[in-house]
Order: sequence, then C-alpha cells, then structure tokens
Amino acid sequence: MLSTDSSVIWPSSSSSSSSSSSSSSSASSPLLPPPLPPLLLPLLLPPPPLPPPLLLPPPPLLPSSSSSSSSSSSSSSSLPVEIAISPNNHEVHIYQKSGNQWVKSHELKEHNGHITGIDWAPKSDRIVTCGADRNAYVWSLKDGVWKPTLVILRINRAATFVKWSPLENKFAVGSGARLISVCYFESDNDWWVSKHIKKPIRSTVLSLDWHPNNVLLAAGSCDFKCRVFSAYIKEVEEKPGPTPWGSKMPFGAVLAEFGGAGGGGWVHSVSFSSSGNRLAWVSHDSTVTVVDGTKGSTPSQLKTEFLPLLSVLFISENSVVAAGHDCCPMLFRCDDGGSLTFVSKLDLPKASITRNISAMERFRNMDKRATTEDRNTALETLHQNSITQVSIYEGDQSDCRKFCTTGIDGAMTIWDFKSLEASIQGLRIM
Amino acid sequence: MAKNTLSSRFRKLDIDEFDENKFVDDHDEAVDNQGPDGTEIENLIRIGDTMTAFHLALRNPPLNTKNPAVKERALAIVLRVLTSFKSSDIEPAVKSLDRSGVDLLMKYIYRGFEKPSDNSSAILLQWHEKAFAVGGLGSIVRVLTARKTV
Repeated sequence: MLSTDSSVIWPSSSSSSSSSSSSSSSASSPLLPPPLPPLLLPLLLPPPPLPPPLLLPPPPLLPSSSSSSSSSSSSSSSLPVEIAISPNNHEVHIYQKSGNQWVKSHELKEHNGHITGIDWAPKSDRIVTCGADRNAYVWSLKDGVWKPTLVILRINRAATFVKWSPLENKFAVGSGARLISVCYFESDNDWWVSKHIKKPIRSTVLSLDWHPNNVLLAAGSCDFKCRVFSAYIKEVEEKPGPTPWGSKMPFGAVLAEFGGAGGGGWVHSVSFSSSGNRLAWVSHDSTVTVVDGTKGSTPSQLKTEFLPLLSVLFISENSVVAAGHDCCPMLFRCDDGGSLTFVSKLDLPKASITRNISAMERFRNMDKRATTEDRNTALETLHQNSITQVSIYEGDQSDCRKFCTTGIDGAMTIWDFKSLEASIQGLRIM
Repeated sequence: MAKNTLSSRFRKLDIDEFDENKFVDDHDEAVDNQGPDGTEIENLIRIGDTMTAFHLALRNPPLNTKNPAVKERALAIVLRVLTSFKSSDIEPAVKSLDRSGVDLLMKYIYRGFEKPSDNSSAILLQWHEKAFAVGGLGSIVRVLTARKTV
C-alpha cells in the first residue's frame, strides 16, 4: 500500500564489497553505500529554509544515528536535495538527488573514530559532525569543497549526539562523559568554544533537542531521566523571555527533571513540540511520555505493549510519531488535557498473499527442514530491522506532511500522511 | 616465585564499590509497603474466592523495601494465590487488571519462574500466556528494566 507513495531506498545489492571510500565515479553507485552490518545511516533532515518555498524541494532525511541533509545550491533554480550520511565508519558521505538516483558528491574524512552524530544547518549551510574520537568538526562549503574546523569539546569519552540550535549560532553535543558540550563561535579568537553542562547528569547523554527559543535544551540520558537545561550563552544572544518551563535561565540550570522513580529505561529520544510547550520522550521500558509545561509538571506516561521505541518526533502540536525496535512507526495523540493515547501503527502490512507452494517445494521443505510450510522470514513491515530515527521530510514540526524513517536495515522510507490517512481507517492527524 | 602471587585476597575485593562515579539509584523515601496480608488471603482461598484473594495479593507490593525477607514473603503469598487458580479462571482475572496491574503480575510471574517447584511451572506458564496477551512485549520489557523489583 505504501510502495507507491513512499519511496524506499535500499542499498544496492551489487555492492557487497566492503564499503571502502573508493573514489570511483559516484554515478555508478546511485543508491546508498553498501551496507555494513550493522549499517548505521545517520541522517538528519533539518527543516527546509524559509525563503523561496516553491523552488525548494524538501531535503531528504536519512536518519539512523546521525546525519543531516539540506539543500545547498545557492542558485535560484531548483536546489538539489542532499543528504549526509555516515556508513558506520569514520567518514561522512554526501549524496545529491538527481532525478530518481542518489549520486555521491562529497566525502568528508577527518574523524578518527566512528561518526555518532551529524547535523546540517540549512540556513547557514554548515554541517557539524561528532564521533567516537571525542571530537566534533564544523564543516563549511568553500569552493565546492567541505572544509572542517575542529571544535575542542574537552570530553574524555565518545560524543553520542549533536544538534544545531534553531538559530544555528550554537550546537550541543551529548557524550558518554556524562555531560553536554554547548559550543558557540567566538569571533575574536575565530574559534569554537565549548561550555559544559555537567550537573546533575549521571550517565551517558543519548539525545538532545532544542526548544524553539534557542536557549532551552532537553536531554535524555542513560540515568533514566529526561531533563530540560538552559543553554543560554550571553556572548551570542539576548536574555530570553520567560517560558512555561521557567523564567530564570542561567547557563546549566536544570529547569525540569522527569523520570527515574522506579520506572527504568534509558531515555532514547526527546522532542519538543513546535511551540516548545510540550516535551515528549521515549524510554527503554517501552513507554512514551509527554509533559505539557503550561499545565503543571505531571507527565502523562503511556505504557505500550510494543518493544522499546528509539526515536520520537512531534509532527503537530497534538500528534507524536515514534518508532523503534518493532520496525514500525506509530502515531500517538496528546489531547488538550495533556494525556497521551495510542492511535495507530502506521505500517499496516498488506494482506499476505498465500502463494501455492508446488508439491516439489513441499517435499523439499519436508526433507530439509522437516516442515511443509512456506518459510518466510521477512518481517511484515517495510523496515526489516529496528528504526533508529524519525525525521521530518516535508513540512515543519507544527504541520508535517511527510516524514522519513531510517533504520539499521539500511533503508530509508518516506511516509506521506495524505496517503496514510486514506489507507488507514479513521486515521486523522490533528 | 614473585611474592605478590602468594596471596589472592585481592581477588575478593569488589572494586566497583569504590568507584566514585558509581551510579546510585535515587532513594525513594516512599512508604515501604509490607506486602499483602497472608492470613486473610488464606481464608479467601479456602472459601474459594480466588478472585478477591488475587486482587488483595497484588495490593501493596513491596517495591521500595530493601529487606529481602519482606519480598520473599510477598512472593510466596502471591504464588500461593496464582497456583490455587483453575485454568479457566485465569483469563477473567487478568482482564480485570489495569495496565500497571498487568505489569505487576508479570513481575511476580517472572519471580515465580526463578524457583520452579513441582506444580508451579505449568500454572505460571498459563498465567504468563494470558498476561502476555494483554500486556504484550512491553510488559515483559518493563519487568526487565524495572529498577524497583518485587
């Protein structure tokens, strides 16, 4: 049902060799790089830049662990859709969409360890990458070549996640060193400076999300808690106005802390809604929780009967899409009172065609496997392995029309709400 | 031989206890539930009212206490109730629970699996099947990830 509407891009099966960064002509391998088990395709799709809406094709999203993409060309003609991914190694590959094919345009090699996070700032056209080598680099496009600038994060463990702030003047890096590094550019020294948020984080930071006011930062970490910090840097911005989360926001202050309290589960992913009033997170104990800052601080937790979810995203003020180890994106609704309900899975399998097995096959199965049934080991969902990232493909966080999922099976799927609403009974995105 | 290989007393030392970055769970000073009341439940089982005994047994779970004796006692009572059920009564009993009740039941079931006795495994497996039908994989994941166990 979804094959006509959503494009699934599979790694080309012919390239089974190790994905060395050979500089062979990119046109020969239009699809994604060959999968390396486990293949991590980090991709992030930043929201498309605001100006020229008509000519701007939505940037593709390739989530997986980190990646971001944005359109880069500055000409007024249609901007090419680009994506930055890392095939689970030390490099970042940038692919451009030409027609229906993906063509590799750049390779970014600077990291010494696996890349764990990529984010592409659409307005300023910069990419930030962070890796297991405890470094982060900010890449800028100069004369058609991406040039890296090292950012000293001052962490002694691997970085796990990176995200540009909404105004793109700072970015935050989560790390295994139990702290968050907030980095901003100091123009006097022409250098990126990092400031640490340490207390009271007691374990690895797994994910981050910025509030639309460019100051507040939500962090989910392995100490089972989701916290809202202030990342206010006086050198680069004005004092922020009061928000439902608090009004005094010195750097590093904890404005809210949720979780713990008996329930376990690493907080895999956090997401602010587009207004910034609501915060959602998913945790490894198979729960989804939403808290509304304007309605007091009691979070509404939904204990699901699914496997743990790994990524969560607000796609409108009242709806949340999450996906994880069940390989299927799911829709949840948060009503005005702030309570969360499960709406529907978004990947409903087609009615499986029971094909008639020939007699020869039956006897062969009986001989080899002691069963006469047709052994179909593929999952019913589109994704064949866990989904690690959900991102917006078209639209923005207040009104998303298409979203994209990527997973450890190396596939990227783009989902269209119009066709989902048409195909799933009674599904309405509010 | 070198002198330092003579004594192996250092092997008995748990160095993780001395790690200053060791993760310590938040102390929840909440009320220490003492577990269900054994005598009342025995009476209910004797008169055959297993459903009420079941609901009573799942009240006041000793989640916060660090005293293993309290937990053992509560576990024994719950297992007594679960094993006294007839197979046909299991499903309505599970259906009468809410989400957190199903999670708690799953916790007890898995604790019961740890020490199988003669006739407990069969009935516990039936309980597990019915509870799984309601709670799904999520309820089992919550048994595994819970910081406060029964």
